[in-house]
Amino acid sequence: MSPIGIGFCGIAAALLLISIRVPIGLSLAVVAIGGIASLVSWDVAFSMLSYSTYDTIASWELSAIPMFLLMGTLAFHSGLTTTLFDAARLWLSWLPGGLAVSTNFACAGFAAASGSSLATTVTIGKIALPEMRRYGYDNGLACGVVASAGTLGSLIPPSVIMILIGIFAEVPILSLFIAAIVPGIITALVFAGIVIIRVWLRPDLAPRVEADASWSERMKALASIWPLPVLVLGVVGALYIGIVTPTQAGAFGAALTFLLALVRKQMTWRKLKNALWDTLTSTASIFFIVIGAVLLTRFMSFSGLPEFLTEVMKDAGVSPYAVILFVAIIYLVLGMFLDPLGVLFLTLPIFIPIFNNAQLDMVLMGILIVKLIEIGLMTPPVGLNVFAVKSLVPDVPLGTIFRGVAWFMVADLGIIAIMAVFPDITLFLPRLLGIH
Amino acid sequence: MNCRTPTPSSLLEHINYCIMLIGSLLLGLMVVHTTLDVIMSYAARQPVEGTVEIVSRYYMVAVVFLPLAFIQAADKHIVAELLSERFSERMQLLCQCLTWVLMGAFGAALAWQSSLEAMRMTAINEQFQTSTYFIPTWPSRWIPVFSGVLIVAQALVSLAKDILRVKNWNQEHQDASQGNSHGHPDDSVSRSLPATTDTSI
Repeated sequence: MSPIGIGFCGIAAALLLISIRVPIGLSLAVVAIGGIASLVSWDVAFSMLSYSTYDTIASWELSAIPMFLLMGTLAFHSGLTTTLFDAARLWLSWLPGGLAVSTNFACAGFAAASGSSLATTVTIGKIALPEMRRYGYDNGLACGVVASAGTLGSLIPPSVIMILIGIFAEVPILSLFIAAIVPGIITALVFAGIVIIRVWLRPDLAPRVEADASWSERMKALASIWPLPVLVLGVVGALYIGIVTPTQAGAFGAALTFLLALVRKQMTWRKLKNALWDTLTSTASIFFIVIGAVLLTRFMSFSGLPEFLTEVMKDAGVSPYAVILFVAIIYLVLGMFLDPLGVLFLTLPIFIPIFNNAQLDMVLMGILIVKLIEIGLMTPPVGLNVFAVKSLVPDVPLGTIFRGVAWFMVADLGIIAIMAVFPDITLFLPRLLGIH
Repeated sequence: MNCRTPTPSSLLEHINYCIMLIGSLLLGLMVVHTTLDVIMSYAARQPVEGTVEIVSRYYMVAVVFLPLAFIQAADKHIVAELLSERFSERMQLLCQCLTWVLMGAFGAALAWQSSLEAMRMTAINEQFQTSTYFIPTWPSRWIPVFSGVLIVAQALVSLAKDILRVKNWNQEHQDASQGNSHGHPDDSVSRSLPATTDTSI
């Protein structure tokens, strides 16, 4: 069999293993080792295991990930989410579907402290879902808004997926973070608009909640979320000014979150231990996939598959828009079945050379990939955010939640199309700040 | 006094728990160390020497490799349930056995290859130089070796447990078909199977 044939077989074998519940990282690693062995030799394949794993993990840049994860888990364990939702509710409940709109913006706010979509969905959902259901909100709307707005966790910086894309695609992480701000805000506003229009057209979806809070109560609630702007300004500001690297910003953010929780008397030894334990578990599970992905990248370069696909596209004279469309279709299809990290690392080794060849802007592509991966979190049959919501409200059928997220998914596709046609929406801010 | 002999399974659980505690401590130290470096750099214009190397070579390697056996035991690896959900309970159990075999092979290869590199680096006393002193880095080369050994041990224990379950399943299924069943043949299996997918992204 030709090396390219072996490359194709490797991708198929990885998908097969993943589909029978073999951990994604293990599937990628096993296929990569077997592939390299068949293309070169077992000696080379095994030595790759040693060099690739240690040298990849012993990385200053990658150490930003556990730091930002810890920042998010500390924010969760210190109760920052509760105050966020309360403040949003007091200020926005007068709107049609006010509690759902509040949930959406609480997710956007929490996303600024957390780098994970699932964490955002679960933490805000725990507080918002009982509240919306108590006021008689339609289950589809309530669950849909939590599952969809939770995806902002990956888009609004800091974002673990963006750090990984930045390192693998060799794009400055700061550029990705800054470029994601406008699409993140647009997405949050569009999601809020969808809720308002739907409830305006069908008021039975969300009975109006009387805003009985006085202005002083509202101002008090707003004042109680002061740690969030402090965190966002502290972390993103320090990164932008250039006084810290992403790793230092993550450490600084985690330390700041801890101190803010101490000042607010929201931190105990138990909470700290739980936050560290959760972060450690998440870190190891993410990096196990990174190890598999690094090995798969080596296997792909030995097989010559990425170069082959790049040449095919070049010979066919495919336009950059066609490349984006092709990539979008692949991500949407894979996103239906795989976890975001699985999709990301199965495709990046093949797509990065294609993007470079088509002279696509890697910052733009990075943000588009994050958006596409977000949609994968909502699509059936494997929509992880939908499953996360289901775990919070076991009595609501999965079909109802999937129907609820469909509105937001369509809107997300529209946003992606607009971002692809008008790249300046994404790129003007990093260009304005002189970092792209 | 109850002097029960610890089984390999319970011994591993204790080791994993202790390792997670050490990992948590190192994670906390990594944040403190890096933050201190930032503060010292700007407040005293005296960064903590060797921060980049210590964070990448020691903290990161420990924080990533040490918990691998624990997340394997706790079923915290990121997985996608695509076809497996449609499989029978017995087939799911067999797929799980395949996972343990592959995981054990991966752990063995990791331990073996990393140990070759670790021995080489220990022999040459691998270290890095800061402006005032040398810090040895070869000890961190042994962390993946230790992790690989634990992964193999965990895979063997999990495999043994699941093989027993397959055997019991076969036995109960046989009994059930003969009308001697005392319960649903799938009960023991379904209790053992993980119910949810856990991920952090």
